[in-house]
Amino acid sequence: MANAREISKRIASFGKTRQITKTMELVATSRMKKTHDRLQAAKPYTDKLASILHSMNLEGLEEKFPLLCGRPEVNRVAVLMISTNRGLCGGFNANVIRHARHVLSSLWEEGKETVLHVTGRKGNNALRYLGYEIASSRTDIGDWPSYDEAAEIARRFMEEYLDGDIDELRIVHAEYRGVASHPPVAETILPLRFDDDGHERAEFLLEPSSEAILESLLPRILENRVFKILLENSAGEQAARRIAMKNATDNADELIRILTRVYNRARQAQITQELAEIVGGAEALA
Amino acid sequence: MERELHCEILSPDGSVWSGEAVMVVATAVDGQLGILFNHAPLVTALGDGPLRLKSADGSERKYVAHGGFLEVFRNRVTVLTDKIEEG
Repeated sequence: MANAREISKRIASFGKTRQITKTMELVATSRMKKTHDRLQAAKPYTDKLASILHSMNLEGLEEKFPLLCGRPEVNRVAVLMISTNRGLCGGFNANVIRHARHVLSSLWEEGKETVLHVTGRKGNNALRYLGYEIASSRTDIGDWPSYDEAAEIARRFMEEYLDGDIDELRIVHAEYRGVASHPPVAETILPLRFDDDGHERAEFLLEPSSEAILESLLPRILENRVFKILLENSAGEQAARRIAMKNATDNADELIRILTRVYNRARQAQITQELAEIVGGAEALA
Repeated sequence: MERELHCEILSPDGSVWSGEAVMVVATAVDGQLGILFNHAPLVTALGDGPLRLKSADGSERKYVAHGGFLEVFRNRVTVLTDKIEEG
């Protein structure tokens, strides 16, 4: 059995690690709240954009808007993977990366060409290490993604799509379904698709015309979808980190508890042995 | 209940302002546009320009919007914009 002093050193070192993970847990908790609030704050805008779109009769207009109508033949698919810049958030990035690889290989099986784009340092490093060719990567998006950053990304892909460079855009990201659930999903962002919720609305006057409104509405919807994905990513990251750090702290507690018991036993054994030696020595002298 | 419109200005970062107004004057892509009580349902694209909300006590809120949309439905006015400044 290891001696008591060594064990007590290990206990101290676990204690220090625990302090760090506990702090990170608390930091992640407060950031999680903020990112969650931002996600909630963005919701009314998103809902209203959707409701304006629903108030329009899209029939017959789809052909006029390339953003809406898909290509007859899809050859080149851009895949944008959203990951985080920092680690220590459990399997958050690993899940997204696994899903992205899955998406890429099924596209290849279908004989499609892919262009891979990545945001976040973690995803970028992992995919580069795995030998994927990355067309572009952004690692400058921080914990608080701004609308402008989202709009920049959206516009870039919109241009590529309109120029015919790509036929489709899919974004692989972690969906934020609450504090404990962020499964990876692949969303087809371009061409834009809308689920018709089917509710009828009053006839609206459309000024100056439905074409003119769509002209500026569609890019906004696209930007907003990217923005929502970035917000979900940062909210999910913080939530995942909080859970990971909570587990780490709990594990450290458990280890310290076990080691303390081992330490006590070792100390006791040492004292017993020393006593036995003294008694033995005294007996030998007598 | 006065003849007031319930107004809300929304941006992707959250609600900018919400409250009551008797008249809303906005800059649409093809010119200025005033909205009073009982206006027909309307959706319009906004251009760059002032957005004024006049309240019942005569005071006025002024914003400058850069693009966006305005919707009127059942005396609720919703302004959607990703760039708006007060002043």
